[in-house]
Amino acid sequence: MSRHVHRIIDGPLPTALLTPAALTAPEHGAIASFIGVVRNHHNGRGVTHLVYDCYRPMAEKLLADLIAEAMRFDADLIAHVHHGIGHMIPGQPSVAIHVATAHRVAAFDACRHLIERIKEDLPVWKQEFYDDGTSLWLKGS
Amino acid sequence: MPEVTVLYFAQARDRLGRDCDTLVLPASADAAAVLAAISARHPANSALIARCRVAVDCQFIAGPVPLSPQSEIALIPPVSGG
Repeated sequence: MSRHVHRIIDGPLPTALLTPAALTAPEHGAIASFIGVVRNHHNGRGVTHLVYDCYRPMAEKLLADLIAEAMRFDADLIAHVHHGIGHMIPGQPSVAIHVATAHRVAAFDACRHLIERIKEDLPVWKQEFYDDGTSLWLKGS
Repeated sequence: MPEVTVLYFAQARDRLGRDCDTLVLPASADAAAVLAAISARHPANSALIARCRVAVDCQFIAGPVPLSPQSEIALIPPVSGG
């Protein structure tokens, strides 16, 4: 089992990436997970689907950098982080973060840190398509 | 003065109507200098360009970094992943 896994995936994340089954280690007493899911509404508008654009080489590198940052919460953490790109519809999972640490506080903190830093810096862009036929690139989320 | 490729993504690619440009930039440039060069090429979109960050070889930059023809520069609009 790899301790640090990070990857950009084409399309919605497969079910196997939504559970932290691969993270179990005898020294770790806590696992925290975050799953981001495509919403069917935004600012009162109905969302039919999304398209995620990505600067893939930088995104792959930055995910590794973010896991390194999260090691300040537990130097021995296990972290698996995946982000889907391309076409997705409401209900489909776009991001999955699983963190295992010795104690629960570090697991929560590291998981929260990873999703917040993804929101700040990961070079991924969401274009929403609405039920009135229009679309919009979101500026931050 | 190296000639370098600048990559465009998302709303920047849509608004500029292309996915890259080749620009002549100083051998050492900071983010402001890169943004100014892109704006000079696309003055109608200078407001959008001013809201973007700059990455060189897959790292965000602020201060000056050396550039060569092999440098990969990217214009990074406000991100919205997750």
